[in-house]
Amino acid sequence: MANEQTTDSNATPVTDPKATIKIEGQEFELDAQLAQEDKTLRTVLQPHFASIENANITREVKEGKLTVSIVKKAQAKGSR
Amino acid sequence: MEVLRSGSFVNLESREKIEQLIFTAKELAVAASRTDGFVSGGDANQRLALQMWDGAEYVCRDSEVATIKNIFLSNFLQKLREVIQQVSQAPPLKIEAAAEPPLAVTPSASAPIVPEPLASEGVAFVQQPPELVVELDEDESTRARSYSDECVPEGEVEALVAETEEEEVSESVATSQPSSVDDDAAIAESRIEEDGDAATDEGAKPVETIVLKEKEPYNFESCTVTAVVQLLPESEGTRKCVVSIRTHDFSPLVTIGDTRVAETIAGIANSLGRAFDQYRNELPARAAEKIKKETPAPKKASKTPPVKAAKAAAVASKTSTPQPTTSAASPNQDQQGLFGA
Repeated sequence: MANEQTTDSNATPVTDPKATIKIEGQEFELDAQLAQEDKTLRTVLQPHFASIENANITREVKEGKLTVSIVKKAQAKGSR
Repeated sequence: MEVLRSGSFVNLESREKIEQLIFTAKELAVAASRTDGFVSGGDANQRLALQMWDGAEYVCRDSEVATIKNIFLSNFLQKLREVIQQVSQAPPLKIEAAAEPPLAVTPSASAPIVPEPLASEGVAFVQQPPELVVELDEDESTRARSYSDECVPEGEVEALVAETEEEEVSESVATSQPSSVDDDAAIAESRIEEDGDAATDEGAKPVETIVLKEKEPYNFESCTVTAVVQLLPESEGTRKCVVSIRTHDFSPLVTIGDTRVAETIAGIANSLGRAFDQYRNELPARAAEKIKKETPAPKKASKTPPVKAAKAAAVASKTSTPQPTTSAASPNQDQQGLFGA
């Protein structure tokens, strides 16, 4: 699966138990322990957001608060 | 009167169509009873009636299908019973013609009817109590009224048909004795027993459609709630249970809890219950926020006129001074008019 990432250990550690998730124009809170790894995040959100399957996931930690931005990829025309 | 062709459009507003439908149902019943191999029976008759209806493929409005189908089925079954009874009566009647006049009995509701074997010929025959005929007439009138009682839910069509059959058969049980009537009684009992099953006859009930509203209210009990339960792999004897709840197009509420492997189901139930309660409490706030985001425009539109009036007043005060400014002011006023549009 593309973009298998976890939060960089050298980056600022996540101390806030809640992470902010931004996806499809929505923003909501999620347990940080679910948001730090791509596979877990995809598994948890896939029932509600099918587009997360091949989406680009980027993370940002600011003052211990994790923010995850999920941007779906536009697939090639005619692809399945 | 012509038979209603297959695929015809039938509506309750057209009395002619309804009468044609009734006529067609009766004709079909007569034709069916004369078919080789026709076997009369409670369920068989009902199935036949339904098959006739399905085969006719009459086109009806959705709101009228149940009523029109009821009319067809009831008239079909009624005529079928009449024909069957006439057929069963026919041979004995021939014998009765040779017998004494009392056999053509006038209706007597009180006295039980006893078959009177012909002393001369030693023939025992079956006599259908004429009361049945009378009562059928009464039923016809009631059925005529049932035509006016149009509001019959679709699911009760067969129950209604079964009820009308039971009425006739129960009366026949009360007033007659002979073996053929006993058979009818047995059939009636089986019909009564299978009354619940009649409604569930194959092919009779259309599949129920679940229709969801386009815009559901922001009430937890009145909207579609999507709940997803995910059990993460076991770790140290426990499994994390991730429950996500979502309604409308709001963002999901995701909660996570621990469940013991041995008590997974109970743990799931507890997690679900907590998540439901939390979401139920948060839903009004989410709805209010959404409504607030959706309705900002009217407020902004109301603010512009006073601002425009103030500007216009300021410009007007400036125009009272020398002319060059008026020429400069007028374009400003024109521009103010643009903003005011």
